[in-house]
Amino acid sequence: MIELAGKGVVVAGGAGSIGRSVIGMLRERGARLAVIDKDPDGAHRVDDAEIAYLQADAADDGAVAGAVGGAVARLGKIHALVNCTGVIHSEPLVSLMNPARRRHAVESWDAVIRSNLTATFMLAAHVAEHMATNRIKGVIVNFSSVAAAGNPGQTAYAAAKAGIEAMTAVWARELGPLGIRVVAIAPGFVDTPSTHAALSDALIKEWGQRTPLRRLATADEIAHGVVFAIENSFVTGRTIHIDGGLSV
Amino acid sequence: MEDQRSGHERLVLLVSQTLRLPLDAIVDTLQMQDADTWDSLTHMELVAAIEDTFVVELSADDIVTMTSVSHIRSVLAARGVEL
Repeated sequence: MIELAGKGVVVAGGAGSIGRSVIGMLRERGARLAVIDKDPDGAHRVDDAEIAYLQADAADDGAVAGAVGGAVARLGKIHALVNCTGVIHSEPLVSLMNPARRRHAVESWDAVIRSNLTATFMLAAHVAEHMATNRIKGVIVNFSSVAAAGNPGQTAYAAAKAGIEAMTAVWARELGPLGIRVVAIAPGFVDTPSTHAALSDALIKEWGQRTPLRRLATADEIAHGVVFAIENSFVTGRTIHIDGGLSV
Repeated sequence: MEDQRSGHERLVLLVSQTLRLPLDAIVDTLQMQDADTWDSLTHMELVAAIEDTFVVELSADDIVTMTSVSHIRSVLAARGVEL
């Protein structure tokens, strides 16, 4: 078991619903926190003077370098990174009913890959470098999704999440000898504002009915998985599905 | 059961096993650049094996320095390991 009290943890995307739940649970356990988020108003939502709020776009490598440097300045050592940055995006590969935009736009593909896959890669690279050079036996928790198995209508998002699962396995093998663990969390559908913004109410209801537990997850249920991934000292390289049985 | 082998024997064995090289190839002059199997990834495996075998914690500077068997021996000697 890893004792979180006094440990430095960076939560990227911490101003979002799941990120705030993660922050709450980590604070309860005495972790010292820094949040990296691009939302200029996110500090108000985090609303905790003890937490360093570092506004940065995780899709920009220079901004990530600055933010991770800021987190190190505040926390001293980073023992864990929670990588829950990114955006949901739905767009079919081909839309026969939309002659004006029949094919998936390359621009949206690039943006979704950058904000989900590339941002996860850049954050992990900077934090892993900090952990390796300071011989910190830390943990990186990435965020995949049930979409990684191939949600129809989510080409770019699914590809990004599948890529995150692959990176998680690669990094676990590369960094394991240094004592650094890498785990991914794959939520199913979570009852958050971003889910409601990305999907219609009818679709959300349908996914709830398709889930064996017949509902969406709460943000706290996902955050609990993140805490498990950090605290359990022998889990690495795996994606933990927290999806009410949807992927079974 | 206690390992009766000398520190030198244990070092040669772990380098041989990690780099998948014959025991007689593990000499002081063996350098990272000389062995195809000694890349940055197997170097990390070597670090982990050395830390486990000799119960030491190597610094990042140590890890960067250990680019030959001779350098590994120097780093371990500086940490009080008898080889």
